[in-house]
Amino acid sequence: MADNLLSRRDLLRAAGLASGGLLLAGCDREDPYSPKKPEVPGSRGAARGEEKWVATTCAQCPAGCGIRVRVVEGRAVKIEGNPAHPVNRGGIGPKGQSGAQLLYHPDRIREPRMRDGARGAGKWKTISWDDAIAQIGKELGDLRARGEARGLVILDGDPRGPMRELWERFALAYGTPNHIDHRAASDGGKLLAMTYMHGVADLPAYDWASTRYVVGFGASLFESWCQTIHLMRVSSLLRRGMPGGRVKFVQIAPRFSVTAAKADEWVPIEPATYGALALGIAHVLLRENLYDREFVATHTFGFENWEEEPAAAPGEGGAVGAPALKKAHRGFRDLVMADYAPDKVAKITGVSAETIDRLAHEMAANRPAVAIADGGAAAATNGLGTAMAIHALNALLGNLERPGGMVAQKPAPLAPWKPVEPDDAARAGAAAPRVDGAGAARFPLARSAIQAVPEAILSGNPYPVGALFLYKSNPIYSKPDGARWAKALAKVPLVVSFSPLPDESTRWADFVLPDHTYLERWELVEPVPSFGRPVVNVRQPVVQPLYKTLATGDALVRLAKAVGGATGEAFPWETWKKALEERLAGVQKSGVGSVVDVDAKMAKYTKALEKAGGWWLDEYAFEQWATAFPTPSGKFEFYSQTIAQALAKVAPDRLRDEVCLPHWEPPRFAGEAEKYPFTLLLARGIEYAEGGARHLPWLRELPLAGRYAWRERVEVHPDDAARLEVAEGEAVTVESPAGARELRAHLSTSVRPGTVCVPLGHGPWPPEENAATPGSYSLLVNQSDALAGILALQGTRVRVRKGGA
Amino acid sequence: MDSRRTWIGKFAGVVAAAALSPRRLFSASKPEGAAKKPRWGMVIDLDKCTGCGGCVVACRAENNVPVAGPDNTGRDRSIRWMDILTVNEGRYPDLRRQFFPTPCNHCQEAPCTKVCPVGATFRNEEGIVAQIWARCIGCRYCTTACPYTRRYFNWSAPQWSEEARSLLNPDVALRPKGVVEKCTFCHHRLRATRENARAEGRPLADADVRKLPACAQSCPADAITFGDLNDPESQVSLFEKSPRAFRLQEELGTHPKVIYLREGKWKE
Repeated sequence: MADNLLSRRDLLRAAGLASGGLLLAGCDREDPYSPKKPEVPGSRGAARGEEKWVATTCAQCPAGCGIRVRVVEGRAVKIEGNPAHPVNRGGIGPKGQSGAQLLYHPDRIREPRMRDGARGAGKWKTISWDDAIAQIGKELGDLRARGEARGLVILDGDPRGPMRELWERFALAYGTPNHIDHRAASDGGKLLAMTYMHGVADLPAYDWASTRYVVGFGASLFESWCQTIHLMRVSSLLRRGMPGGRVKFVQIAPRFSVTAAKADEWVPIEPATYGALALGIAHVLLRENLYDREFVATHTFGFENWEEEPAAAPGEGGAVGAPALKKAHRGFRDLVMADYAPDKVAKITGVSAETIDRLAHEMAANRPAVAIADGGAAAATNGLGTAMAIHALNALLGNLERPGGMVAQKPAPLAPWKPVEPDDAARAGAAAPRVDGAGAARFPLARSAIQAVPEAILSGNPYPVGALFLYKSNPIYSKPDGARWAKALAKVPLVVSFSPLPDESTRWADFVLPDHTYLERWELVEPVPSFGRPVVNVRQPVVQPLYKTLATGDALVRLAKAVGGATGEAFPWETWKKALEERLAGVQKSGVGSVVDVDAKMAKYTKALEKAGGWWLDEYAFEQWATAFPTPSGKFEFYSQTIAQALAKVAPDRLRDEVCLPHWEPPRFAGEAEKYPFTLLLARGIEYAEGGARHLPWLRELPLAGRYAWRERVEVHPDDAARLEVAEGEAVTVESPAGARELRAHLSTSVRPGTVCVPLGHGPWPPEENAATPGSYSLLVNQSDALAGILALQGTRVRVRKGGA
Repeated sequence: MDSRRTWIGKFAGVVAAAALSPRRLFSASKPEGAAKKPRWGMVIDLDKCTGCGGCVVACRAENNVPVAGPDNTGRDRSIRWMDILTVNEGRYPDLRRQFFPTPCNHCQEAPCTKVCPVGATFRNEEGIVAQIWARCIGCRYCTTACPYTRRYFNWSAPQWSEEARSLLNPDVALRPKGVVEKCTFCHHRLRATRENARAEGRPLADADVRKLPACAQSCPADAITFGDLNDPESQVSLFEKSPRAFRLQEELGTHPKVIYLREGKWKE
């Protein structure tokens, strides 16, 4: 008791003094209430009370919100939204604000490390940057000298922008085709639909401010959606600031999520049947003549049945009389009218024919109406057809490239780097097939398929993987087959991680080259599309780097030089910043946008951008029909000729008219219904970032997580819970054909009986040692869209039993 | 216990006289030319709110609210001056869920201030319900009296990692174990903004304060507005007259100064 009193008294004194604003002298370091702060590099020499605001760019998700950071005496104290920034206009969500906890995370890796013990043992010794770069450079050089440059695999978590392009350049100059992103497991479906139908290999954007009706197909618009913060800003205008009245948000999803709760209408649906519903709506639009006939006739291809002109035969003109046979193809209208009548669709989706009818009529009556596909909605074995079906609704309603509709992202005027001049080794390596099978017989229509990598490494097929980079990637935790990933990483001779924090995959690395956090590095950022207008954000250090870390861009520039030869020549810059300024010259020369100063020196122009937080255009040029659809036909393609060409080249036996058109096929679900009675849903809440929320306490403790914020939980319907005799908060074991995991039951009416939902991104922190199934992705059975390689997030059945594993 | 009480008594007396008197804290600078004292209030538009929790994190960051950690969270002992109350109704698929961001209501007739035996909490002349942690003896009468459960007791000493101390906001004092704390409407920001206005020789304008509290400033959906309910021209006063306006548990006669605007749904 006496001890307690004593300590409490000290505390009161400290608190009282602090609140009185008096000087603190002789405060005990052990005192938890002491406002005394540790020395950090930026605080040395700072004047007392010195305070500034620094504009920069958030990196907690790829949306690219502009932020302002309050820096007091060299320490970042608070993150706020940048009111001038077009993406978020001063607002900032919980994820963005939690970035400060990342900067000051106690578990950060503080200097480069080298493995000191067995693979995966977690034993490290410190190494200097120079030595680390030299050693890795030498190993990569040797690999290349042996003619095995293609054996380098780069797992890259950046979806867009100059950093991704730097990796691409490194892959090209070094000589590997294996620059593999995570899109197959996130937004791959909608990306491919844009690529194949629209001709634009980028995510869709929307002219939100003028839209009148929004239908989200599984899109977690207010949770984990790349445009979430932007959309929140816009939605309050759409709901409360429109002279024409309220804009309707319809959410179609199996689970009553936060987005569903905030929507004007929620339509429950069977998992992985979104495509059928979209085509059912299309059926009504066509049947009742509610579609935009003028747009469809002028700007689309493959709507009606069509005939292919025969390829010019050799020696044409010589053969007289025998007319070449025209090949007949099916059009979109024919397919939809034949196969997707609302009654039939109602049986598939569980959405009544009346609702389908009503949604179609409402969309037609409230134009411009947009249909939004989510990566998660298309994440099933029928993913590409589904994403195309949803995308096709926008064409039917004639809203593409029009105000209030769906638009393609316009490119930013960043100057390109000098093209890479690959040497023979690089050319040979880059021409090899990819280990993930994307674009080859395995997944002919995929651009990447990260989930196929462990199998390729373990089988050595198509060739051995000699080195692997982990950049913003922790596949053991964030992809299915975590245990196989661990085995695969253990097999690769050289693994390098650039992670600023320890994680399950980094544990298997030979070298760790810790990145700066985003509040410590300088770079240019092109955010994922929100509204289609180009944005080039500046990210700048708000404080001096806390530790001996290095921006991965800089590490890569140095690494390329260490590899030497043509690889080094492709990276002539002294620093990453110099490389970026080269590109920024294009923005400056464009003479348009929010920061215009064509004649200024680059240093001055850069300063102006740093002050503003970036550069952006406020205008979008609609209806540029000549260039809007860079497809083979130059039009929006209901029938994708790009798909037809790709299949004809790689897998001609799988080419049918149907796969080139939006269509729905029954999804494959792993686990027999008798053994695994529950359908597994995986949800991403607002706290989900790639890699999850688990390391940031502010995100873990968001109110919605309730009492189990620090546990992994599974949502179970109360009726199911009663049958299982499970009470709120009790331990249950969720088991799928892929693995089992102990979770806490959260009784929730948001899920339908017979369905359980696991929120993603949680799990243990610090990462468990040698955990066989480190995250909830490990419950997922690894299956994909057979052609497009989209990972089926919807597609696993599980059983649930009371008690721990 | 005796020695402790006397010590606290002395200490509180000294500090109150020196710096912590309500007058000094909350009304040091009178707005020039204002006919009436302000009555600070907040309006939260539930139609705009998307339940994201940005306000919750903004508040914790701004006000040095400690992370609860697994143990305190499991016992429902997290401190969130700004919280989100979720109300679920119905059964699948006929469901309804509402999110209420819930700061302190700063009631005009605040029950919590009436039960405090040591004068550690009071409503100041501008309507802010204040708490002086140095005076608080931790009896928790006020947490019981508050019908909105907006007061929080520090069950344990706050834990900061050495690194995370860098994040602490120097404008807000840390609270020790054993005292009650609560939302202040970010009065330290109010004071700073007022000083700035005075330095510029102009009265505090509505535009200066609309997004003043950290929660309002961060809100990505622009759902939270702060201002003077005594100023008929202020945004909050205009919102107060909306047919959608209501207060939580108005029937208790507490006269909350946090006003909600009802959620709407699309109608053809």
